[in-house]
Amino acid sequence: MTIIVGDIMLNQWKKLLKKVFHKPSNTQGTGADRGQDIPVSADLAQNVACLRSVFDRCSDIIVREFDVGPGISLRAAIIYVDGLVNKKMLSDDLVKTLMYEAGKLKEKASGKNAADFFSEKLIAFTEVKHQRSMNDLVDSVLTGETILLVDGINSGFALSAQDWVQRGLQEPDTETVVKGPREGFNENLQTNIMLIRRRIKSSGLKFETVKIGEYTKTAVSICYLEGVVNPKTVGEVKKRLEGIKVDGILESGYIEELIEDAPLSLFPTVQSSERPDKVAGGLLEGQVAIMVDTTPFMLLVPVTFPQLLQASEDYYLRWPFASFIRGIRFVTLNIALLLPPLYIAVTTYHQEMLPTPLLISIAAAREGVPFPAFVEALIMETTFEVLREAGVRLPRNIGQAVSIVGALVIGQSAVTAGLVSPAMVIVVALTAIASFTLPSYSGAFALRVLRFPLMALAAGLGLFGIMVGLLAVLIHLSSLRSFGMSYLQPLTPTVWRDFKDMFLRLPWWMMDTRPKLMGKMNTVREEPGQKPKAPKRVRRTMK
Amino acid sequence: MSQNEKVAGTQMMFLLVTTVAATGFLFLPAITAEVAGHDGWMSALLGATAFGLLVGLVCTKLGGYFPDKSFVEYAPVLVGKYPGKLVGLAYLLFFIHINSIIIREFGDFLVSAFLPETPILVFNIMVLTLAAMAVRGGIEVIARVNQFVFPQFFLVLAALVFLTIEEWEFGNLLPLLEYGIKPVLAGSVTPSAWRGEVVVILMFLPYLNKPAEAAKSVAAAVLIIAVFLTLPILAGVLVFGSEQEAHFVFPTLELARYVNVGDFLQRLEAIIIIVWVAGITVKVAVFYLASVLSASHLVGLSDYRPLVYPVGIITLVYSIVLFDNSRELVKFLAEYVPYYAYIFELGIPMVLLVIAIIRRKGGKLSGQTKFFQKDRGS
Amino acid sequence: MDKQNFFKRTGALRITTTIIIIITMIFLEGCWSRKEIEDLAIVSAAGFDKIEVMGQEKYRLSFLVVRPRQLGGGQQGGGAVEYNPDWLISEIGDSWFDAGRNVSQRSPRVIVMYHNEVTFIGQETAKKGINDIVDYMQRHKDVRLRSMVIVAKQSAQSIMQTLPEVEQILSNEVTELLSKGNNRVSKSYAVDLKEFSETLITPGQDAVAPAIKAIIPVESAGGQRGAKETQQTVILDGLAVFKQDRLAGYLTPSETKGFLFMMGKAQGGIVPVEFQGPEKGRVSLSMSRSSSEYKPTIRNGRLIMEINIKTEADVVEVDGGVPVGDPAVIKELSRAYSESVRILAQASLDKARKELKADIFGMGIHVHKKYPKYWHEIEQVWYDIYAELPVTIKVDGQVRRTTMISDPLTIQ
Repeated sequence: MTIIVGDIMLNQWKKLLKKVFHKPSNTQGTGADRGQDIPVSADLAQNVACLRSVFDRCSDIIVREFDVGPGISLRAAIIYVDGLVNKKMLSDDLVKTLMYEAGKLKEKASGKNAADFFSEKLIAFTEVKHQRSMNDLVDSVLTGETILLVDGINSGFALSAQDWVQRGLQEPDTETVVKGPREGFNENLQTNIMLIRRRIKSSGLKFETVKIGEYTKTAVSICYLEGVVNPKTVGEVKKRLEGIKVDGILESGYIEELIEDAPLSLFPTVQSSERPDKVAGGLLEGQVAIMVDTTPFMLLVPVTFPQLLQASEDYYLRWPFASFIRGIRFVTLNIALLLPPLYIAVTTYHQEMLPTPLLISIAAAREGVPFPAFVEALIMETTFEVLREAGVRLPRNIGQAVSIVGALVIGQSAVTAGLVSPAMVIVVALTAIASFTLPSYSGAFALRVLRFPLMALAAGLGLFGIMVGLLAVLIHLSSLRSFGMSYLQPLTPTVWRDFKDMFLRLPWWMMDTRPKLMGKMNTVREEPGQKPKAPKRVRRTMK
Repeated sequence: MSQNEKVAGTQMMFLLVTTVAATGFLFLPAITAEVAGHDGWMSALLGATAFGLLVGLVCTKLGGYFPDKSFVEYAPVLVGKYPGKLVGLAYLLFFIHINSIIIREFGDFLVSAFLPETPILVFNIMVLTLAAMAVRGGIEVIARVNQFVFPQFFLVLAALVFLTIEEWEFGNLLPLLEYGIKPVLAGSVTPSAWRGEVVVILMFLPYLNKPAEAAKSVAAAVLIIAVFLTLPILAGVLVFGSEQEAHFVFPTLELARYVNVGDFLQRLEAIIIIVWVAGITVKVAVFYLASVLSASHLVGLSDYRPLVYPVGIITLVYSIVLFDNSRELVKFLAEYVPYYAYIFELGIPMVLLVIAIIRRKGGKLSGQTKFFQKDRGS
Repeated sequence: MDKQNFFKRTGALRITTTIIIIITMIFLEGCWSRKEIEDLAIVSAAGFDKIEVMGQEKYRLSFLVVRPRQLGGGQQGGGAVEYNPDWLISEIGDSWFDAGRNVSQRSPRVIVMYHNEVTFIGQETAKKGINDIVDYMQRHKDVRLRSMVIVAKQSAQSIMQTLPEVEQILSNEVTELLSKGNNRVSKSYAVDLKEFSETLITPGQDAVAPAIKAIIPVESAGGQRGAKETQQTVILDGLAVFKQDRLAGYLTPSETKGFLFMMGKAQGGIVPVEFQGPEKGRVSLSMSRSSSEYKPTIRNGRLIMEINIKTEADVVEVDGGVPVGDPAVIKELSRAYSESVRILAQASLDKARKELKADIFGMGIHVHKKYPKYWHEIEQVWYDIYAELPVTIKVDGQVRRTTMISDPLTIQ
């Protein structure tokens, strides 16, 4: 009785999983440098000493003390992280001004308004913040701001003079297009925000930045288009982000795994993209983007399964071709998932389905192959996955060598040696190519992994096994949700209105509404009746 | 909570279609051909549809009095606590019994037509496990799964009909009503019992998002089922003639075996079988959910999920020990199930409906009948 | 975080269940019904013979099994011995199924029948009744209903011993012959298993099946083409007619043509017509389509049958200067064509009624459909009525075109 056994095993699993996932919680304690908060004192020496002790053995922190002049004796200090600031700007606009120009001013600062005096008259920077607590000062330094401390003023000035080396805007490797913008995100949050802002010039475009990670203090920006987005989704995203208590975030993948709806599912319930146009498109449809500093991959929620099959290029090509490509993608989706299992099932259980000549040629090809079809398929699929992984890991110049080894040595020689049948090589090759046509990397991954259990089921029970497997997947997909949206929407629950961007991509003048639920707040996307018409030909009357 | 789940009227309609058509599609043609010969399609089209509509009407009318309660919950209100619980128990057993018959049919069919060397237990366990997964997801999940299964079902039917169309011999239907109306009526006994399976709606009415449309969905479902069940019978007779059709155990399957697309695509029955497997899974899930819901409502549990596995195991064991051989099953389906099913599908709901009407008219408002007032208010 | 909730929210349960099912599947699966494709003996043709062995009736089942490597080319074969692409194997048993399984004593591969395209029934076997063969074929879930049923004019096995002349395997050769026999000459009629069993069990109709025989081709008999003198090949030879489930006799190829006209199934073929005008000559007409209609009527308590045949033909050959370009001549030709068709049809009807006493035209069905009550009265004595039934055959033949030239060439 599998069910009983299954239940017992389930309970054990539960216990095991509980152990794994529930360590005693001491989340508050992970932040190491978060000591007692001290207010900034009016005594410069004391402040500098304090900061020096905090940044003890941090050789990249520069502390520079100097006299403000000329003519007045006032000590000041700047503190910054070497490499994160624009040094020329600092020395020209700050240090020089303070040392040579400050004393020449006729007005003199005194007492309480000294701080305002400084920031209004002397510091020629666009962004100046007054920090009154030591901890804030430390945080500012670490994010790349420059701190100016002046003797006698009980607050520090955090000056934004950040400037560090960053990668240029390159075409993203994972989502290339033939037609469409070629710039991709880079690892700098400010640049990335700029890329979005350049596309959506509306005050409704909001970026709310929070810092996540006790050590890394990674800036994470929640980005949405007010008036279009469903406020509930934004609230939910904020809630889930607030719940994250970890030591560090190095990539948006961390966030993805910490906020997704179905952490144990193979299917991604969060979309990621490194294309600004894709993110902007998502925002316009009511998605929320989660932008993480230090990675070019931005997250988009909520996401549905059909959206994983949409590429941004679909919207730039003319609609008949875009629709055609969509169609191809649905075909390749099925090939990527089902071709090897179907091959196994048909050749080992349902030979009657094959046309006689095809059956005979497959049988002829398989003669002498030492493995059953399932093992043969497993070997070839595994080989392919190994090759693929090697192709990713290897240095780019060696990559070509790998593909030659893969294609020639393994494919050709395995067939010549009679280890695998040519039919199987065709099946595996077709499957591999098909799985690369899917725009979503993680979605394609899910299918690739699912293929193996389906192959096992096909080997055990033929087409019946495949159907059982598919039904299990279908039941699973039907119960998935992504930030309150059913994962299979608009297929089910059926929203006919949204089918215009589903199997087909209808022309833009017909895409008059945003997807339901996501863009619930503001459903109308465009004025109706924008179908272009050729101007009426003026008939010349003969005179 | 389960009560928050809602399904749309169309979803419920498709769910009912799959529920009824999934098995009928395969088993009915042989039964009607045996009794009514080449007039079998009339049995499936006319008599059964009328019966199905009646059942649907009675059930939705009855459910309309208690818009947020399931049948097992309101039966005690209508006929008193203990008799009501007894009725509820009877329905629980009915659902489990029907479900195990379905599963047995499923396993038997797969063993005899598909994978003869595999033990029947494997199939029964697999379909029940899938159904259990779906039942744990709730009616929403079942309805969504069905939204994928139903179109496939439809396509398969269309394929069966259109790919054999050049073999159709309309003369096979003549002479109409050769032996009069009697065999047609006799032939509609079993299809009626099948159509009456829409009675499961009794358990699902509270989940409809627009209860007012319940009757419409059920009626539409019955009519679509009529097409779904009549077309294979018709196509079978048109292609094979009624004598041959009656000899086949699974005429629809033979139809699939006879399909020939451009002389190279032949023997597509495996595709039909697997789509049918999907349909059966939905059907089993529906009856499974109905039995689990009745069990939990009977004892007043707020969540039915703890009962999923126990009920499943009972159903599984029952499905194995129920019959000794496949002909026994067919005989049982054709001869006993109808009369037994009539009681549960039409008899009891009808009696309860009459009681509800009388008590409402008579205005006997006891403490428990506050639902009537609520109904009036709305 | 609530622990219980964690599991519910994440669906961990469902996924774990799936994984467990799959794992159990992989380990439990004994690969019950699995057959690797290279372990199959793919039967392309089957032959049924009942034979006497030591005074006992035994069942001999013969299979033609495809040798994929010889056929499909496969890989660089490594210089294997040349075999015929199909392999004849037969075995004897106490029933058809028994014989079929006994084959496994000699066949290293599992016999599968799903690609069985033709079924040969030996003449002597057919005379003893074929009910058991049809049962075997239909009960067997492997056999496709579209496989052709053919009666061998000798033993089924001896037909299967012949070699195909053009195609690589015999079953292909025979199916191609059959489809041409139907479409191009109308001297044979392809019957598949479904149609064969339908006509067998439907009251008021008797079954037919194409007949085939083995011959030594005359062209190679003298040895000019390098073929062995004894190498036989097959030729279609009219129709075998069954009464109930027993072989009653054969229709000759020309009677078959008449039968096909009667059934409205003649689709192609030549009808030569002697033209009796001022210019005498023989005109060959190629029929392009035909249809027939049966009109049973009861007049004064007596059943009579009227059969209307409609057919069209084109002039394909003119011998002796008949001016076929003249519409009047065409009209005359049409009349002559109708008469020829009528004679052909009448001949097949006479043969079926008088000699074979089998209702291969399904006249009973037509009576049944029109007069169900009357039919139930006479069903038992139908064959007696059929033998004496007044039948009038009316043919409406039309000559449509003269193909590429009109009047014949006049040689001067």
